[in-house]
Amino acid sequence: MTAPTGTTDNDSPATSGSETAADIAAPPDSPRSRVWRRLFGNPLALLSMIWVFLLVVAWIWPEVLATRDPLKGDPALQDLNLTPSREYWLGTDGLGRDYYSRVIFGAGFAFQSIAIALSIAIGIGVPVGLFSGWKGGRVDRVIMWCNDVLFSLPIVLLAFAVIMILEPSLVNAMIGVGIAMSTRFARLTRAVTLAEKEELYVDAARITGLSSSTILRRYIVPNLLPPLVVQFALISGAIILIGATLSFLGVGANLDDPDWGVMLSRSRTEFRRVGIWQIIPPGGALVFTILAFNLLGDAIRDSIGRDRSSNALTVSKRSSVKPSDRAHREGAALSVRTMDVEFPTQDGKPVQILSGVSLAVQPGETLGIVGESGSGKSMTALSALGLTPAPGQMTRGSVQLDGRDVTSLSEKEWQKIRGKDIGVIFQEPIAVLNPAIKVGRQIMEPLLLHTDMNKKQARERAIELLAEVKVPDPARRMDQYPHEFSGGMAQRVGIAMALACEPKLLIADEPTTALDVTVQGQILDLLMEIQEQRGTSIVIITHDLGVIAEVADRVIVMYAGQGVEGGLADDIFDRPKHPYTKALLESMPSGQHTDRLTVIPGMVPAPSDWPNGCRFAPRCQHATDLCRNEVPELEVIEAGVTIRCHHWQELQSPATEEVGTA
Amino acid sequence: MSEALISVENLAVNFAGRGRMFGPPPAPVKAVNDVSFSIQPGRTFGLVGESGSGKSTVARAILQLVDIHAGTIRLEGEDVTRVARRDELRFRKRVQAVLQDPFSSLNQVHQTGTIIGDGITRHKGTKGSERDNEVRRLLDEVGLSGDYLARYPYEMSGGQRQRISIARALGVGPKLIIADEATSALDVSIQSQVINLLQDIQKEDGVAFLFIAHDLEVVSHISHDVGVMYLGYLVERGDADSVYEQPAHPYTEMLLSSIPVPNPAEQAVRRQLRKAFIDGEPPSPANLPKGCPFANRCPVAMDICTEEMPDITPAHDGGAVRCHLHTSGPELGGGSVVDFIKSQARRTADAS
Amino acid sequence: MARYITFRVLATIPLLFAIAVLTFLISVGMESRGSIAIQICGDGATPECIADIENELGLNDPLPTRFVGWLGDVVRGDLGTSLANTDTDVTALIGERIWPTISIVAFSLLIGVTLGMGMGIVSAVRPGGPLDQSLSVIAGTVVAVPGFIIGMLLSWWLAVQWGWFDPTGYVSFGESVGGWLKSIALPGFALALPTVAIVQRQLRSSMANALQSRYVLAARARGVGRATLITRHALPNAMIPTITVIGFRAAAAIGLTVAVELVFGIRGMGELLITSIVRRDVTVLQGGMLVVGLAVALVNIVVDVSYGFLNPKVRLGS
Repeated sequence: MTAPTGTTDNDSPATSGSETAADIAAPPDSPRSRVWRRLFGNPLALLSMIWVFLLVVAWIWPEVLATRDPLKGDPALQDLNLTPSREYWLGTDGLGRDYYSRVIFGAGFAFQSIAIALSIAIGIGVPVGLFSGWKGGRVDRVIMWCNDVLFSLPIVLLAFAVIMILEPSLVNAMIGVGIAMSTRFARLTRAVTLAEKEELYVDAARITGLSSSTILRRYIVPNLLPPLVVQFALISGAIILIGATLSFLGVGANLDDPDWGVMLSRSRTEFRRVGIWQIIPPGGALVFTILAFNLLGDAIRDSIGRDRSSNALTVSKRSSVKPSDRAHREGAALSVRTMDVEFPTQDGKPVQILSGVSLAVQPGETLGIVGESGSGKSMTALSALGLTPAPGQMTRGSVQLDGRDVTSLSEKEWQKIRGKDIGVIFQEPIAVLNPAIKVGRQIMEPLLLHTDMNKKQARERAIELLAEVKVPDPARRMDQYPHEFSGGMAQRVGIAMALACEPKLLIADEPTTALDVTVQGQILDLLMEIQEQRGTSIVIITHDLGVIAEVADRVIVMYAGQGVEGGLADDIFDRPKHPYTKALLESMPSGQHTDRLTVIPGMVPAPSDWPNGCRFAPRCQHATDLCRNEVPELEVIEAGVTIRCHHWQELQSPATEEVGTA
Repeated sequence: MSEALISVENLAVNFAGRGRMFGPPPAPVKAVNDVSFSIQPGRTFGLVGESGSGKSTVARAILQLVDIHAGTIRLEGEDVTRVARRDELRFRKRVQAVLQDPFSSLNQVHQTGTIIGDGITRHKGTKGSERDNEVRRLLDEVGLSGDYLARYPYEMSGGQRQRISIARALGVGPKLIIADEATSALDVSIQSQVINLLQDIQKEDGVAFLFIAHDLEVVSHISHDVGVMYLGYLVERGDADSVYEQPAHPYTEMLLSSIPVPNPAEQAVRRQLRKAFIDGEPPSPANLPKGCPFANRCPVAMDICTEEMPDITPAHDGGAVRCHLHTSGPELGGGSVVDFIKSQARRTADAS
Repeated sequence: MARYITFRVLATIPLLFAIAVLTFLISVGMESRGSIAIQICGDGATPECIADIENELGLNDPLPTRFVGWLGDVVRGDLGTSLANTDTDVTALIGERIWPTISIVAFSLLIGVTLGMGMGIVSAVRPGGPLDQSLSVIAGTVVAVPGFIIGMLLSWWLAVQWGWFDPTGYVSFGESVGGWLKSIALPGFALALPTVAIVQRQLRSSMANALQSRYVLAARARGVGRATLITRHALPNAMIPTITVIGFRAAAAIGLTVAVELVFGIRGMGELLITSIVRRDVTVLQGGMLVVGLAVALVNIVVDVSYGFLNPKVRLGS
């Protein structure tokens, strides 16, 4: 049996936890209001809702909308099989009956089908799924196996079986369809229950002492509702489609009823003789209704889900990048000057994610970029490489690679540089490897792309590279898949890939954050060794000041999208100039059992909430009115030593130096 | 000697292994092996280890979330290894927890008042406005204003959510709070806020903590006593300052030398020390070796280390350690294990 | 891989058994609503008639015995005799009727999957672009149109109006290959179009997902070009959930072909099953269900094996 996924819903495990760039830029918003906004902003969804509403009216008060009796034809026999006219808006059928009215009455049958089938489907499916998912283990396996057997049979066939036992009628057909659909609901409910059961908030509820029934009822079920609602709409569409098919086949609704499927079965024998119009009124009503439910289901699913308008292929257009007013440093391996990166938002006003960021790395040197979440450190590296996630773009600044201006390079030109002159190491070592391709092949890829090696040579080189990054038994591990590697080993593979073409610059974005501490040490040692042997420049991005102290020669401290301080690593640690740097250093526990840690009150503001003056002012104990009103410029004290603070000089003098406690 | 609040004796927890289809039944994964420690009332015990060490499993075992294979757990003298249904509420009142991920440890669809209040209603029966007042008091204790009562998790930052978790744990009036990686997912500047908060709570309410983390720096700072875990074994246990300054087990030393600290000079020292250790992969918990699990990475491993698992022996300052160096090793002569490792490293460097 | 395939094939046996049980339950169900014998003999049922049928079906034996006996027959290929036409062997009957159905379903899947995948890739490459938007609208609409309606429309225009095809009838492969193709083309297309739409939508969605993954970003950071990112990096991963959906659709198509056959007057399994319901011919229906069940089980094996092919984690058993 095929591997069960509750739905064909598409949250890939590797990415479902992280936010997209667009999410970061948008102001925090109630999930519920965001869903409503997206839903009602969708014109198709609106149209669908209107159509369904009209149908409901047709179901409950058909007399209001219909103009004639759906069951009796006009005694004047001339009015058969007519096409639309002023008299009969949708023409007439073979017995002279007004199509328009019949279609209106047909809506009732459609809703009846949904009502019967859905209540059975949900009534059976959801409790079964909940029970199975909650119990887990053997019980779950057995129940789901049985469920999957029923699931794999064609719905029409299951309906046939039920109809055979009972007898042909709309109700019985829908009972069969309902039973078949209950398997879908059971699968979905079970999948969600299993997933939610593993979530920490369920553990927390158990720890608090809440009973199982309370947890199921008030904790799990509310989280079950969104996917259920989507399924509700989509399956309603399917029910109507299958119900109509069964009526068309003559085993569903009664042949005298103005059911759309039945009307179509009449037309089937006639249309070749009489004209295609005979199919249109019932067929059209059927199609529009199915379409409406499908669109609604899709719209609800889209409004609940993530923003998918951008992906790794979408390149933001580098339109008019304002030039920088600062000169680049001579001989730098990488130099970035006053880079601004903006993201457009819903209300039109773009939000700046990075403001005036500058950095430079000399050959053979290691530059550390340190900052907390929201500081923009990863975005800096991505943007320097031309990988700003769309719809963001660099609006100002200048980037030079080894003296060459790469600010407005085209994607094609970038492809020649990436992987060859620059290597990148990412944060989650296994997520960064393609799960479907052997590891060796992935290491060979940059070699085959950027050098003129043939496959054999590339393979040998790849084995050498694996040995260089100290992966034991490299020849055998070449042919393994990423899931067979541990985090530390996978990161070594990542390093091997980045170094394959011997680039002069290596960018490491949080290379050790996802790894165990002892493995972390090994990876950092490896990077240092590589630098010693090959003279590669390294830019390392991290939130861990300890890592900076370990490997960096120079440091840039970032806060809220700006560089606030830069200088030699030793100086930054011994004599920090910026209040943020100072506070950060003081708030880290150092293993000695002291009383209290220094605290930085408040929290990092979101990009849409950045204050007008100095962005650190709300949390800084030395802040003055000047700080709150005017943005401090980035002052260059000497080459590579920068500070962005109005009062740094005063704060350096011993008289005003306080150890803050909060 | 005061009576321990909670004592864990020879705890062992196994998980079912993953088998191949049509293969022989898989060997169990030994997540926790023969772990013993105790916590005094109002004190903090830190449990430190990397992924796969079993530290979180110890927490889940105490919290009755996983089955215990062997061993005993006593809470205030009472055996709580397998709490019976009717005693469960009484147990839960005394032991609470704050979990790792501030995002997923709170139910998205509930307001703060419900999140914190559900426990209060369950244990004390208070409802309505009386419960709301109680929640407000707790919010105040964790440093949040009363406005938070009606807020949803999505409106709060990681640090705020973690405070809500702490308030929830405090709500029922526990004697022990297990903090499982409670600060690991937070930014550094927020981490210090939460750490201070935990220490304040201990001072005011006399709550004991089992503080679990992978960062020895944080653990040593906040704990009175510390235990180091490796592959399910408690390899060292002792007073926090002693373990930090003079570790008795080589793994503790490796851990210490791997943690980066914001001090370039100290960092250089640690890097030197790290070089002494062998680059290797820890064995899989499904396939533990015969002897000491750390042997393949230990620079001073002896023959006996690959043969026999060391027993627990007393270490300096009243602690305990599981290492052959302290029983059948060469005379440490009162010197520290660290010095021994360094001298060995020097000897190997000279020889090559 | 061989080990995986063997296991998957063996795992089908319990599935087939379960289907057999379900099929058997149909006659049990009918019985609880009144003796089959009486229903079949109709009004004026004579005791002889009832006794005949009861013997024929072994209706007086205890259930387990009946089941085992019935199952034994089935496994040997004996599906009983039709209750409506007591001189017709069900197995033979199905043997005749199955070829048109297989032709149409296979044809529809072939076209549906290839066209659907092609369109899915085209759409995913430039999300939101003009091609993607128009394809999405078309696909979204086509999915909502039942196959039999598409069939009638196709029949009207291509057969009745323009006369390119015959509006009804089936020509077997043995008689004339060209004729066979022409007779299955329209019904095949009618069944295929919704499949195209479903596959397109799923592949587009999975591709969108894969293209947003970290490993594709990392590959782009290594300088891998657009075409390679799509075909070598994203596509293999996007195929995994798509194959599952194709499997579901294949099972659905086997069911929906009934209506399409009716439109084109093709005497395949569809007509057989419908008539069996009308005439309460339970042995025919049961035979049909078993055969369909077998087909579904085969489809499952193919899907599972493809899945194992694409997903190393499944194949190697992590």
